[in-house]
Amino acid sequence: MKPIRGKVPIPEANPADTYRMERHDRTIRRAHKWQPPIIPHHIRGYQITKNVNTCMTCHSKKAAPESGATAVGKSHYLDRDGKEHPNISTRRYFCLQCHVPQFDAEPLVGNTYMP
Amino acid sequence: MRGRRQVIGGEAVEVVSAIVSALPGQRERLRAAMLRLPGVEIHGETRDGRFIVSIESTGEASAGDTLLALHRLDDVLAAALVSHYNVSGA
Amino acid sequence: MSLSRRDFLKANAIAAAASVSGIPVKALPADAAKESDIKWDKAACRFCGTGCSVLVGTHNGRVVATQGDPESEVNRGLHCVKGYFLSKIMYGADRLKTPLLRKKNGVYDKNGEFTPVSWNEAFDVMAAKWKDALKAGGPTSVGMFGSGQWTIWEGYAAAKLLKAGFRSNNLDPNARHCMASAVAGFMRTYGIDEPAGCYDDLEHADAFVLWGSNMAEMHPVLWTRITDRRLMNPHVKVAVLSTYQHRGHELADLHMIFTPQTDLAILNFIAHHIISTGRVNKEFVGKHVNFALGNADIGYGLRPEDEREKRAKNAGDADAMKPISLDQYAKFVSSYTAESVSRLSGVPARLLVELAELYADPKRKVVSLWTMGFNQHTRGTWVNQLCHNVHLLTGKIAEPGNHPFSLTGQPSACGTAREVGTFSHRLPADMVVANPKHREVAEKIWKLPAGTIPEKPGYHAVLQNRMLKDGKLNAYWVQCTNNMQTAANLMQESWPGYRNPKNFVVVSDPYPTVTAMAADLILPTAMWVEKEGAYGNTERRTQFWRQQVKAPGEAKSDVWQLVEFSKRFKVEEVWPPELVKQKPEYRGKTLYEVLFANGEVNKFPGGDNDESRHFGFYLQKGLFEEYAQFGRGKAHDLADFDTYHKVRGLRWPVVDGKETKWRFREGYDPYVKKGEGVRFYGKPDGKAVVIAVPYEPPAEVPDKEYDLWLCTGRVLEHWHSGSMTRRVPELHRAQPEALVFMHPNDAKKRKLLNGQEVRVSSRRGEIRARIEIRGRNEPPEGLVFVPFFDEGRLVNKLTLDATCPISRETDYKKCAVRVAKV
Repeated sequence: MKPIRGKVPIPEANPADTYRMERHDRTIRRAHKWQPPIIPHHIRGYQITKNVNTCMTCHSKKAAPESGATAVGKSHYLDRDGKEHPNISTRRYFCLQCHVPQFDAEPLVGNTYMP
Repeated sequence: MRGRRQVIGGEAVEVVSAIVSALPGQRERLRAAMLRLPGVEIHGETRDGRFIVSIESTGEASAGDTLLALHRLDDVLAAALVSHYNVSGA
Repeated sequence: MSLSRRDFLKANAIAAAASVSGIPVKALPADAAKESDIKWDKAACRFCGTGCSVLVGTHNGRVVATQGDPESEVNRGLHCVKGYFLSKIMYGADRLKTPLLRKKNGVYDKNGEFTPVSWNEAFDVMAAKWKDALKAGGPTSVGMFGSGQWTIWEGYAAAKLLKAGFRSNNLDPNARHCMASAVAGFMRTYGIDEPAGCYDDLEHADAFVLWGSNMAEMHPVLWTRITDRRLMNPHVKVAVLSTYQHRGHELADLHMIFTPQTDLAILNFIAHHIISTGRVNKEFVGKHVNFALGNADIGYGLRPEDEREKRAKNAGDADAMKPISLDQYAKFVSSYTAESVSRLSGVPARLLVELAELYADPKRKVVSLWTMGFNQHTRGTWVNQLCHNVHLLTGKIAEPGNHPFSLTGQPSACGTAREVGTFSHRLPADMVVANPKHREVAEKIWKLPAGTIPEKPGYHAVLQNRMLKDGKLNAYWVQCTNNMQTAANLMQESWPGYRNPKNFVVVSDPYPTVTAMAADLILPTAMWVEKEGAYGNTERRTQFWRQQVKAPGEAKSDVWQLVEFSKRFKVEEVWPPELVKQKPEYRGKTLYEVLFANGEVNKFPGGDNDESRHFGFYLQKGLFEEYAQFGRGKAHDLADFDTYHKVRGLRWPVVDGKETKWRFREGYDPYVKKGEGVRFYGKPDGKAVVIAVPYEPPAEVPDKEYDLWLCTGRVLEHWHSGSMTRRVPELHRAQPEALVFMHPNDAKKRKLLNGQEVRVSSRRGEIRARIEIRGRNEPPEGLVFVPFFDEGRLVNKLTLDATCPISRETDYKKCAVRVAKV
């Protein structure tokens, strides 16, 4: 049995590892259909503030066919009460709450989940 | 889904899982070579060239034979058998 | 389609390979359960205090998918990224499946290797250690550390076993680290715990003020509701106050970065501004508010021999306050002018006034929100109360959109830790052990001889580690929490405490956490939907779920462990003869028979879960219904057990089947009579208390040697200490290691490049990590932020175990460190 911090005893200091944000050339497969897609690219410098949402310049329903990015799902155009809007729902505005990019980190331990 | 065949009730079932490591720098080549073998699927792989594979018996070969064939591929550093299920048809 | 036999075998084979190799498995579409085969049932999310409802999809005895529950009022189908990966948290390949005891040559040895043992052997050794401790040191030598992640009945069973069974009040939850200051604030201000309002306030407010709360990462689903409100209604303002810039600032209209600890002064300034501009709600204040002056100079909850404690005038009398008038209060806050507070806090005076106007403007409805920035504070109780002050002065409370709202960090910090009373000083329904009437009520419901429950409060969380180190707490059980990673000052208190040869430490956990690795006995634990559960969230909402899958191997739920362990003790072994004499019918009985098979807890048959099948009665229902007797008719009313299995939770008090959204106000709260309007009925005279307390400096400030502030906290992708989320490959890969967030100028001054490995050290310990100067958190010069999720970087080696002397909650937000190249 070993802890995920590795072999270094608890009172001693673990050295740090180093990771790079990954760039995939295609979408990353989802665990199951209700899981939000993982971001398969770098996001450094992409801004989301209350005035600007850089993600939507490629991922909006309108922009996606041209940009080649995955279009935002239909659910994202519904408000809290299920009403449809022309723009993305403001409750889904901060993309990174559900969609995250990946670093090139090895898992600390296996996971036996199966869909 | 290469090498899969229809599941038919009452057939014999043989499934092997293994962890396969590639020689340094040969990950891509090994992946392609393994997928050419019958009944082999890759379910996970790492940056340093380790793979989780499953091997099923097919009309062409038993899973055990395929594992031996996999072992002999040029780019294999090591192949460790993890589990082997062999259940005859009921 | 059920999995074909071949596919089933294949799935097993692959899982085995994944488990031995640690290589992540990609989805297996051919083997995946078809949508139509998935059975869905509801549960509460395992993570934060928001209390999102989840639909859990199971197939062939395993969780295969989860999705946001569209029928839930809380989240309406949404989750944060952690919630979407709930399906994987139980399947880390290193799940513990058997008890593990440190052994050498076949017998227990404090310095032995962890060796698999049976439950029988584990409990034999454990019970012997408990009996030895009780014999040698009495009830105060045994204790337990629990959790706001316990289900309601687990916390209740623990409280009963400790306080009634072992007669020890040395029971505390990790909620002590989380919201004890909020509790003390509510109790001192209103005489009753927990928020007056609820989440519905988020759709009614015209302004949101975040006080030390990064909701964008820590309460993401509530943040979606605030975002929705702000972006759809341009008149709405969002003010974000923090000691560093974080994702919450992306939505802010008013940004304020203040010097640590000066939130006390800012709040006193707001009160002064309200008074000096004539905007006190005189009618409300006249009818519903008293004023008091709190004792000042109260120390920092450090060990008594610490110089800072010796110097503090009221270190031994931190709780005291005396009545004053509104005029005296006005005079007290009058020195907190915009200019003086601006100098102290570093916030421009113009912004301070703009902020104060959000509260002072009678036309603006305002919700104040806070979490650990307020609570983990050496003046945590004060700062909580100062926030209640400004709402009370303006009457902006207990109605839709006006609300001082404390958010909890854990899924059942309210439901279990607070309401059940798993604190060292509490009993269920806000009662306390020090009050003889309260003890009498508990002893009556529990059918105990008078005098069973000890009157002296037990060791709180921080004191438990100190007492372990000092060898006064010798038989110690930790469930459902990872305190070796979270309690402050690991090197000087927790580690020497756990490893003290005088002590026997038991840790129950699903995974080999650092706490488990520091124990002498590890008990494998069933988690989340492997058991029937109930949580109570931040807005007083109680939510239930059913057991949906079996736990792996020999893993058992916390409640099973507690109740089964009680069979090992006869009353004569734990109670003095004069107690047993009062209840001769208990003679020769076990604690199991006295506490659990007591005619109440065992009166319901059935129960479709592993515990009920084992004990032969519906254990969870029995515990819940007995517990509910404490609060019914006392403004803590819970609905009946079966109702909660049908609904998406209800907010207590639940009276005549109806939940309560806003407390203390007529028309919403059934405890406020017609004609009363507002009544703070937790206090005998129905009036809330505005308290006058000053700004006082923190326990430790940066100096020449340790020249930076350290603030620690969470990240979006990981839950607390990461014991669940770091085993989910996608979440781990999203946030693999804790970084030291730093201002570019601070890096430059130390000749550090972005990404370079550094040594962060304090007077107590050190860690190694990489610096990040362009990350999601942007500290001002002079402060670094390091999250605590990463057990490879135990930030709690650095943090100081100074607490609020009233709430006893640790300040994790400020201590002094230095950063240097490795």
